Amino acid sequence: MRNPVLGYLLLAPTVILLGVLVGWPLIEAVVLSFNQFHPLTRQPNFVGLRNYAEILTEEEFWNAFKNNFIWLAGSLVLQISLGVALALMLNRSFPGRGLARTLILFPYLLPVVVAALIWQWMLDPLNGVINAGIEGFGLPAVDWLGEMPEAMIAVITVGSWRAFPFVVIAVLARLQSIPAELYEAAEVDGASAWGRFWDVTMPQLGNVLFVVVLLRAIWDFREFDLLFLMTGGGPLSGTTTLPLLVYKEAFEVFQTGRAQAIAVVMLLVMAVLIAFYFALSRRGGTIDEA
Amino acid sequence: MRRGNFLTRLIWGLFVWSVVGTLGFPLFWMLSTAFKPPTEIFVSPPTLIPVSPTLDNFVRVLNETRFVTYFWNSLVVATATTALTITVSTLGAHAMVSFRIRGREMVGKVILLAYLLPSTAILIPIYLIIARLGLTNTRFGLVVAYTSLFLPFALWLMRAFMSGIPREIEAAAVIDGASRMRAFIDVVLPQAVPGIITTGVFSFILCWNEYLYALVMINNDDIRTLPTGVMGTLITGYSIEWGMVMAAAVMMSLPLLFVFLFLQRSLVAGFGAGAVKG
Amino acid sequence: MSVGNKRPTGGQRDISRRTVIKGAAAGSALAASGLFTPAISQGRTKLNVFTLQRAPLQMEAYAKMVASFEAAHPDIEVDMLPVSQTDLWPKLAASYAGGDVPDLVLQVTAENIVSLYGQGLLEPLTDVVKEIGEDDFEESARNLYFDKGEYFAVPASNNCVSLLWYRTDLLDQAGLAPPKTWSDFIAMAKALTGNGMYGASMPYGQAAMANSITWTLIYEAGGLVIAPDMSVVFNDEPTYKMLEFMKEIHEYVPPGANRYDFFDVLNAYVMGTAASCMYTGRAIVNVNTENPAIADSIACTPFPIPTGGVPWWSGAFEGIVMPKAGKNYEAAKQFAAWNFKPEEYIAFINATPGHQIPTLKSILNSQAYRSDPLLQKYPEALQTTIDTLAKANATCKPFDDFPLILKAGEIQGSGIFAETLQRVVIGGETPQKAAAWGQDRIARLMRT
Repeated sequence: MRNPVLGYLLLAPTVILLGVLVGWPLIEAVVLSFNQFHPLTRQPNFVGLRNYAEILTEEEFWNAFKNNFIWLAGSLVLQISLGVALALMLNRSFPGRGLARTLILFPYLLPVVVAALIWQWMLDPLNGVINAGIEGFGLPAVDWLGEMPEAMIAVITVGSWRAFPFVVIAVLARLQSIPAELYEAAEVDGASAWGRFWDVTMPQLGNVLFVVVLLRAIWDFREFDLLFLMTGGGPLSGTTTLPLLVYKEAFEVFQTGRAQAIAVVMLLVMAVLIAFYFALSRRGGTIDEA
Repeated sequence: MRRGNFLTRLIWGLFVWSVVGTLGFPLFWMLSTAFKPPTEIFVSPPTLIPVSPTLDNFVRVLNETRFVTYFWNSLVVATATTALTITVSTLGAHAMVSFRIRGREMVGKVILLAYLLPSTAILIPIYLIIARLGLTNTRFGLVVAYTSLFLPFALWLMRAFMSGIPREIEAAAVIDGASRMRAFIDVVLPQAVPGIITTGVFSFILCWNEYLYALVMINNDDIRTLPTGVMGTLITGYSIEWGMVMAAAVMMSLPLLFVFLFLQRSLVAGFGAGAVKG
Repeated sequence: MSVGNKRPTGGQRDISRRTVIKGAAAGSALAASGLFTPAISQGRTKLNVFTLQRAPLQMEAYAKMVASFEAAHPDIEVDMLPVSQTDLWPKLAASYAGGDVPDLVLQVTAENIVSLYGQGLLEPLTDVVKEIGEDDFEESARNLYFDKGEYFAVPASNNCVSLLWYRTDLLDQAGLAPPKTWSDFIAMAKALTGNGMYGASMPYGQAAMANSITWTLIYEAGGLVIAPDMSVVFNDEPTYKMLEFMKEIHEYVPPGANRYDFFDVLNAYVMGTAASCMYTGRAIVNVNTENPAIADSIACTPFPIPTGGVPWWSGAFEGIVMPKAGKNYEAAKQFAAWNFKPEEYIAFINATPGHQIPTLKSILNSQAYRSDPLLQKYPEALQTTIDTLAKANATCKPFDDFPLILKAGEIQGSGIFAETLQRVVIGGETPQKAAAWGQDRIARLMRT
């Protein structure tokens, strides 16, 4: 369109802010990753690729890498299945549906700190309501956040509990826009309820699930607050994911350079994953870019 | 037939409500604990509904901690960040969508990349920048940091919304003789309201909840925000009074629930649309 | 799908549009009123002070100390920020990066003080020590912070984590004497475990307390972490012995101990979940305020020493330090000295009676200090604490003739100790393997 000057003018704040607040820190992050840098004395010392060579040969990095994927895969599977199931339930009418639709979104709105506190209180090994329930059935108390793999199971559960409403919202919005004629046609063709779900609903959801998985994967891959507040990465390093390892290296052992090197690797991993995901889903043909 | 239909609906309703109830239990438990006196909190087996409900926990949080100060700080920081990101991203998204200008694809890609950045990765560099700007330990410093975190997301969302607005409307206004800017304000902006609300609420929620940057960047108790303030004063390492903690949790969640309930209709539509569009 | 399809109807749109515009206006007003308020008030020197002792009662005492100081120095304003042991280094790192370094840090434990000193970050406080009276300070505390003719910290107080608190009623019932050795302790813990009671409360969480007591237990077992020539000697028999001990006693700790830090360790004892715990004199005040039912059955003994070990006890030797990068040396020194004004000093120390022991001899022996009702109530516990501290050393200078371990704070803050412990206790690794890992990581830390 005409008047490109105005366009540039409107875009200018975006470009400037992105440059100063994202571009510059990013460059600085990469530069720091080639240095050794103590945050208190603050004298950078160029070490070339040593930080990268070190982290890639140490068990801590690969352990965090592995944990990151366990956490990511576990959370995605749980929150997506929970979210889709709930959306399907809430799409059919039943008494009090409006209220249920509102209530179900609350976990998503809670501050992370609040979610972490509630669950820590519920998971408390001595006084928590969950262990009280378990012991009510005559089973032994579980130290949910102090043992592995219990701690990983607990954080995945809490993470998914926080995130599933997002899936519900997105899927529900899509479900409501599926034309009723499609179902009617399927019914005329004699398709069962199950058949209608697979043949009509699922293909329609493909698009939205693709975006939801992508978004949730990005958010969950880099999740810091919840894991930090719930377990601090422990026990052992059982729930230490890459973002937590970055924090530990930077603020517990003061290896700012190594921390930034991990962050850069993390960024590359995410970029590769996303490219891979796009390529895969294009070939599979589950999305048409409508 | 009719009766059977009703029965099915009832059974279905009970089933769905039991699922919803299970998923909502943590929230119920937060409320329940917040209203329990200290003596009732450690009763075994726990009481589901407080036997002797009390408002003590809430009163103590308000009187004995700096909850109100933290609340105010959170409000200021979240509001300012939201105002800033909304303004910038609305203008930016409009420019990218309806002006055929050089480099807009490039900007789009940069936004996606920025959006992927883990916040831990640029924590230290951002802090160094804020220090150079002389903004450490100010609310504005946090606003700047949060803008760096949320602007890419806001841009992404706003661009999705803006590209859903039929261009013909704006074109018609321009042909009518209104200037581009007037057309934007009078025609495009009203259309973008649901997007602006969604993006705004998202940004507000994210600011209200943010923990890591607030933890590292604020060293002054006068300007701490709720998440770090509440964690710092109620989880002191010397005592955890779960009743007070849960009361504080309820109070810091309320604004978000309130905003949400108030704007629910346009939000749900917006959430869905923004997320689905991509 | 496009957004346009979901457009609300006209009426609603107008409402939401107006709401948004109003909201934006209110927002900018709100932002403008609060946003740019700087943390500096006009014409007054503002002191930023961190404190690491920050229990509510202590913060109250500090508030009074600040009030009396500000009344006497109208041109100075003190802003006190409580900082947790675990957050100290991240907070310091951030404040250094931002050039907004605290003017004073109160109640820093010895290993952190020594590390700050080792990095060359501290301004000497010799004149403050001299002003208060060099000779009045307890010798071991004073000597710890004296180097190259200057005091790099003011010894503020001391507390003794090398105490074992136990329940006299439960020990009497079981016919046991307070344990003297690690094996006594394990036997006692075993005997007292059962029926919802756990024998001992010890820290296994990846947090400050497990990191801090690791040194202590290794020294007790006759070992060292860092040799006098600053080589790392963590991977050795005494470390294995310490790890084995912690693993054995783990059988008798409450569920959840894998996450225990200072507070949790004490709380399990205070609430009657555990029959004993390793802790400072803070047990006195916490039992009396939170579970007075057991107040007549608590007592402490110096922490047990393993058979064939070294009688070694640890003191925290908390001190006041002044970062070089601070901006207000004079005001900071005045406030540092104000901490020792008898009335304020005793009020702070006795905010948690028995937990912190004065480093000033004149105060320690004063009637004003000793007249606290809780100290009167537990004279033996107070005497045990004072006697144990008299023999105690700091983990960063384990023996009188030992050089300062200048990386002690980094080693302790790194979490390597706690992780080594968890590898053995939770992960089931052999002590040898875990200690080898720890040795390697500590060595890397020493290099940088």
